[in-house]
Amino acid sequence: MADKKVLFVEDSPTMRRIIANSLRQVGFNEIIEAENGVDALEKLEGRQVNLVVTDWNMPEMNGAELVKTLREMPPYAEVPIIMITTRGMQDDVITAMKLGVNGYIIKPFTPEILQDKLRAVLD
Amino acid sequence: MVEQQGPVVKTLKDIKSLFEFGDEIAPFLEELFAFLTDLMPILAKANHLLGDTTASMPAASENIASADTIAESATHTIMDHVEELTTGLDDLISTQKEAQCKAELQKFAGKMGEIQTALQFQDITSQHLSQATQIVAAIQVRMEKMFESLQTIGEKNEAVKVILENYAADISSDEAISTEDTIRRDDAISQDEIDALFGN
Repeated sequence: MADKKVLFVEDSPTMRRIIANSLRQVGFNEIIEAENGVDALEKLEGRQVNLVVTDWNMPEMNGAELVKTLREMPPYAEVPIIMITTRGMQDDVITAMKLGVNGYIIKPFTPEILQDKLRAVLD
Repeated sequence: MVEQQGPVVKTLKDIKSLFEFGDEIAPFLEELFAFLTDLMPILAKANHLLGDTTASMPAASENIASADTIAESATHTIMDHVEELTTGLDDLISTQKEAQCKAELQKFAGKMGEIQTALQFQDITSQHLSQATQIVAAIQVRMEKMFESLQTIGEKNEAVKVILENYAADISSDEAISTEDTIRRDDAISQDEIDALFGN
C-alpha cells in the first residue's frame, strides 16, 4: 500500500489523529485530511486518490452525502470508499452500500480490522 | 420507576379536574394526562427545578459541552504521550540485538496501539453527548411552549391562574425522582454481518 494516496474525512480531531496513525501504520504515507464533506471536496481539487475513508456523521456535508457526490464525479466514480462510523444498524449499512461504499467499519475498531478491510478493498 | 407527588404532578391533577371530558375524547385525554404525570418527574430529574427549567436547560447543555471539551483535551494529552512512547520504543526495537528483549519491547509497542484504539471512546462518547444535548434543547423548547399556553389560559381563567401561582410557590428541588428505565437497542448489526453483506 506504499505510495498510495488516501483522502480521509472525519470531523472529530481525536479520531482524525487515531485513524491517520492507523493509515500510516499500514503504509499510507500521503494522507489528505478533511473535516467534513465540503472540506473534502475543496481539498481534493480534482486530484487523483487511491482510496477514500470517511466518517458518516459530520456537519455541513455528512459522509453519505459525500459518497453520493463523489460517485457522480467521473474522476471518483470508481475510487474505493470505506466508511468508518458509529452507525451500527443494518439499514445504515444497506444505505451505504447503495450509495456505493466498498467497505464499512463500525467504531471502535482495531488497526487489524482496518488493515483487513483495506486489503479486501484495494487488492 | 418510583413515583412521587411533587408540585408539578399535583398541578397537572388540579388542571385535569377543571375539565369535563366528552365520552369519545376522554380516554385519549386520560392517557395524555397520565403520560405527562409520568414525564414531569423524569424531566425534573434532568434539571432539578422544573419551575426554572427554561433557565436550567441551557446550563445542562453547557455542562454536557464542557464535559466533551475536557474529555477531548485529555484524550489529546494521552495521545501525545502514546505517540512519544511509540517512537521511543520503535527506536529501541530497531537497535536491540537481543531477541528476547526485542520481543518484550514489541509487546509494549503493541500495548501502545491498544491504548490508541481504546481512546476512540472519546469520539463515541462525544456523539452520544451531542445527541443528549439535542434532546435537552428540544425538551426545553417544548416546555416553554407548554408553559406559555398555560399562562395564556391563566390570563382568562382564574382557577388556572391560582393553580399556576400555587405551583410557582411550591416548586422545589425535591421533585427529582430516580428512574431505572433504560432504552436498549438490540438490533445493531455486527462487523461479521456487515462483512457478509459486502461479500468479505
